[in-house]
Amino acid sequence: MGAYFINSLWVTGLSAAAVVCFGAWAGFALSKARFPLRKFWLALFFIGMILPVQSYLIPLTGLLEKLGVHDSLWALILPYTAQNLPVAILLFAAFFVSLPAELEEAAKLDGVRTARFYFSILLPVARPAVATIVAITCLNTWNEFLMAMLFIVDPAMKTLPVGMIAFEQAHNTDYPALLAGLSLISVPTLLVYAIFNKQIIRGVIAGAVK
Amino acid sequence: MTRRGQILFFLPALLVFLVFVLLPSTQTLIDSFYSHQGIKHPFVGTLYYRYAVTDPKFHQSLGNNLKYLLWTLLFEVAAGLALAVGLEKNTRFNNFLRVAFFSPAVLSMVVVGLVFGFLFKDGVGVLPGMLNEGRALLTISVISGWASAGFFMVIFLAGLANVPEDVLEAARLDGASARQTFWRIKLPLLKEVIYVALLICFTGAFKAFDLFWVLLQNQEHTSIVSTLLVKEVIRFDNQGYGSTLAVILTVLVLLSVAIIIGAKNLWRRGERRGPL
Repeated sequence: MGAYFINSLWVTGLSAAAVVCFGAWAGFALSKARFPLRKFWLALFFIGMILPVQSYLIPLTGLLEKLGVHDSLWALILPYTAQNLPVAILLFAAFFVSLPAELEEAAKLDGVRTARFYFSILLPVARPAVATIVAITCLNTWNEFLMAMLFIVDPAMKTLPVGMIAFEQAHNTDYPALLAGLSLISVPTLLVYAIFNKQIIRGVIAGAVK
Repeated sequence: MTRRGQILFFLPALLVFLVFVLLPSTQTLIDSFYSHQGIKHPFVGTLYYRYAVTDPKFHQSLGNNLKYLLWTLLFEVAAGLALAVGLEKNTRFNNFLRVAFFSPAVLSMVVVGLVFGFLFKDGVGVLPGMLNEGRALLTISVISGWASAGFFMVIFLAGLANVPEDVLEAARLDGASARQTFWRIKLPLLKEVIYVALLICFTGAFKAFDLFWVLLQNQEHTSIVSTLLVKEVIRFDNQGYGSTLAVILTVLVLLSVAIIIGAKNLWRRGERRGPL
């Protein structure tokens, strides 16, 4: 159980970091009105957001094998990142569009370079969007079951939900141990919800209304 | 920002999305036209699609998806709306209840499934027999409602918060009852949010997997398309038919989104034209 917990932590942490990083970059780029094919990309990510996981699930097994990452945590981190990116991109793009254009113009007049502008001015302003995306991506990846069940065979690489099922099947009468396992999955998300419930609720609403 | 800088910012996300979502989705579509039995993978055209049309297991699974959809409209969306209306006032106690009702939504469906599975287990559980044939689908829908009604409540609360105060004030002055205010004022103003809720409920009913897998993995008659698909692939190694089912599932999800967005636009156009 302890090993599953550590695996889940790695997978969740790295996926969330990648989603925020790549999502904010792409959202920033797509918030520029003159970005090439802007409307097309936004539509593409909207479709990506509603696409069910089943539509890309089956060939992923072979693809991950070809990339040599099967049965490692990367076999989950990469698809999880891809799966959660569309919402992040659309949310960040909407957020950056809503910022006043004067912000960037003023920075330009002060001679601030784009990369500096992005990292030292834009990202701090975007903190609420970042918190929202981190919260919903963490919940999604921590609880994800279907891909984790199909892509990980090695027992040492399993994440909590899949490990929990395996444990239940092997020791289905060891109730104290089962209860400990269930708490190990649930207490972190409930704790995170207790602390960040505003961000999570905001994420639900933003994700829903987008 | 230079054009090249923008593209550099955009590329990592596009690359990950392309390789791990778009490419495999296309591959699924291609695979559905090929047989994967044996070493050679011959082109079989629409064979698997024609097979699906006559496959009783697929019919039953799709039927279960539709029944599940109808039940979740009641136990998730309608229940969520009722909770939102009941807890609309901003009091400390209501706020506590909102937090409590939403909290199952952060739980893993695997945990939810295991806990309810234990409650329903013959011999040890307090409610045995709830997963028997004929009752299992309803039971699963109630569990889904327990887990997700709070999620829909949050969406509806956001919509209710946007109902203008002066409209409610005017209704109050005109002596409208609470029921009239709900049906005649709040519900019509919630239209946008209702479309969103329907969108999530419809797509969710087709995407559902975890609860069905954890609780009903060994029952054939309560399969839904997503669990049938996984069984075809991992138990029978039938990647061609599995891909076909995946394509059908994807089309169903996209179709329900298109229908709901289409209905929304039609409704809007009708409204602009006026009642006469």
